[in-house]
Amino acid sequence: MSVEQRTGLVVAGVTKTFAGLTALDDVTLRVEQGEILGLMGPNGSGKSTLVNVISGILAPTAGSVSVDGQDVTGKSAYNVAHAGISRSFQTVRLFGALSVSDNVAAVVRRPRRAVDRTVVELLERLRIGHLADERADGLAYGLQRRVEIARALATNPRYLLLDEPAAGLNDSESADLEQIIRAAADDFGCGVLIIDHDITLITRLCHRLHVLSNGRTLAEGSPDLVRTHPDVVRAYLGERAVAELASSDLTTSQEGSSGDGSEPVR
Amino acid sequence: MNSWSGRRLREGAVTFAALALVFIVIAVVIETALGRSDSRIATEFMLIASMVVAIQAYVGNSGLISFGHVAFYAIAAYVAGLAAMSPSDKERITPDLPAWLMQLEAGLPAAVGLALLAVLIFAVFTGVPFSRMNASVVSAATLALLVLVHSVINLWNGVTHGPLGLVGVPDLVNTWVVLGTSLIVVAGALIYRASPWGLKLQAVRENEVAAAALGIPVAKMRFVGWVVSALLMALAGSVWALNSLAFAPSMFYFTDTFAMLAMLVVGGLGSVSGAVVGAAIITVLSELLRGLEGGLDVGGVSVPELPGIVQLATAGLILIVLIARPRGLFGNQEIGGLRPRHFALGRGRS
Repeated sequence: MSVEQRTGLVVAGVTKTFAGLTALDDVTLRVEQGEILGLMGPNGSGKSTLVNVISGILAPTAGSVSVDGQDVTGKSAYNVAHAGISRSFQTVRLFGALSVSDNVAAVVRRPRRAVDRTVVELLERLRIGHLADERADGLAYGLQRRVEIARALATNPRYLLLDEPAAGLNDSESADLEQIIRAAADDFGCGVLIIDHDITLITRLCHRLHVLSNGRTLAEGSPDLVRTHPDVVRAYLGERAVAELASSDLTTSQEGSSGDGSEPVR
Repeated sequence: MNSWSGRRLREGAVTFAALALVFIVIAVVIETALGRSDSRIATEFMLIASMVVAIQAYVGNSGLISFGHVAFYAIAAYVAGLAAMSPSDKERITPDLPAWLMQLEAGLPAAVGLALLAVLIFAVFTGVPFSRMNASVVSAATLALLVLVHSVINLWNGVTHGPLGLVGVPDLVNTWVVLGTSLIVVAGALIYRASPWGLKLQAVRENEVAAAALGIPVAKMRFVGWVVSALLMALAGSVWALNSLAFAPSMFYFTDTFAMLAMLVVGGLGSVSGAVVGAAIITVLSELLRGLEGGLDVGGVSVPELPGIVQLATAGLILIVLIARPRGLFGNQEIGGLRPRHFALGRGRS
C-alpha cells in the first residue's frame, strides 16, 4: 500500500468483499482536478460500493485510495472529507428537519467570508436561493438533489463524488444539473466522479468513462466507449446492439477485457 | 466569528426576548403579589424549567435521549450545598468530608463555581466514552449513570449523610438570583443552538452518515453538547440547592428524571421555547390537580380523594400530545423563528 506521490484522486487495486461476495475486484482509476470522470456499469456492478469505499463509509478489503498524494485508505468518512473529498448520496440524505440554508451552513468549514454570505452565494448558484428558509425534507425531489449538491460544494472539496445525481430528474432539471457539474469542474477546479445511468448526460458531460461490471473494470477511455466497446455495448444495450456494432465498420480491437457483463440495463 | 450565522443568532435573540419576558413577569409577580407558599412554587418552576432547558441543549440538538442529566443536578446540588453549609453542621452530619471542604463556608458565587467545576470534570469523563458510543446504546448508558450516581449519594453516609440527605443548607438565593439563573441558562441554550457546534450536532441528529461524510466530527459535536448541557444543568441545580435548604437522594432519581423528560416531550424536544412551555404546562396541571389528590369540597359537593391523579393526568397529556403533535407542541421551532403558517395544525411535524 504505497502512498501515491502523484496528484489526483487515485484508487489503486481496490477490492471489497462482503462475507465472501466480491463487490469490487482490483479496481484502479484516477480522477484529476478539473476532470469529470463518468463511472458506469449495470446495477450491482459495484459503482456505489466504490464511492462508499472512496468516501470512507466502507473500508476496502485490499488496495489503496489516495487524495493528492495523501493516503486515506481505511480512514473514517470524517477524515476522508477533510482530505478534500465531498459527495452526494444515491438516496438523498439531507438534514431533513433543518432549513435549506442550515443544510449548507452546517458543513461549511472556516469560511473566508461570513457563513451567511457563503451560503447565500451557493444557493444562488444552484438557483435555490428562494428556498433558503424551507425545510429540506419538504422540497420536491429534484430540488432536494440540488440542495445535496450545494451542500457537497459547501465543504470546498477538491474531489466531488456524485452518486446518481440525475436520477428522478426531468429533462430540464437534468440540463441544469449538467451545467452545475460542469461549473464545479471548471470554476472550482473540482475533480468530479459521477455515477449515472443517463448515457446522453454522461457522454456529454464526462471527459473520460470508467465502466464496471460485476465489480471489475470492464473498460476505461473516452465517452465514445459506450458506442464502440463491444463489452460495454453488451452491458448497456444488450446482444442485439453488439451484433449491429459488429456489422458496422467500427473497430473492435479493444476486445480482451474480462467481459461477462451480459446483464442488460433497462 | 466567521462561522457564526447572524441569521441564527437573530432568531435566538427574538426567542430569548420572548422567554425572558415570561421569566421576568413571574419574578415580578412573586415579589409583589404572591404569598409564601405560592412564591415557592413559582421559584421552583423557574429552576425546574431551567433544568428542562438544560436537558434540551443535549437531547434536542443531538436527538439522543438522556436519562442521566438528573445525575448532574444531584452532583451540583450536593457540591453547592456542602460548600455553603456551616462547618459545625457538616461536622455533625457529614464527618468524612475532606478538611478543606469541611472548613469551607462558601458564599453563592464560590458554591456555584465549585458545583460547576465538579460537574464539568464529571461531564468530561463521562462524555468521552458516551460520545463515541453507538447512538442506540447511549440512552441506556445515561440511565446507568443516573443509577450509579444515585447509589453513591445514597450510600456514602460520611460525605452525603446517606438517605437522610443534607439539612441546614443556607438560603443564599432570592428571587432575582433565581431569575438571573434562568435567564443565563435560557441564553446559554439558545446561543449554543445558534452556534456552529449546535448546528453541526443538529445535522448529526438528522443524518449521521451524511454528516460524517461531509466532514462533521460526530463524536466531538456530541461531546460538546453533553458538556454544555451538563454545565447549564449544574448552574440551575446548584442554585436550586441553595434555594431549597434541605434535600435527600430520593429527590434526584427516576421521578424527577421522568417529570423533566415529560415536560420536554410535551413542549417539543427540538426547541428551547418548547422546553419552557412544556415545563409550564406540566407544572400548572400538577398544581391544579394536586388539590384533588386529597379530596375537596366544592360548593357542598365533595370530590373524593384521587391519589395519583397528577401522574395519571401527566401521562394522559403526554399521550394526547404525542398523538396530535408527535414532535411536541413546538417541534424544532423556536418562538423567534415562527411564521404564521406554523400555527396551522397538521403542519406541526417540524
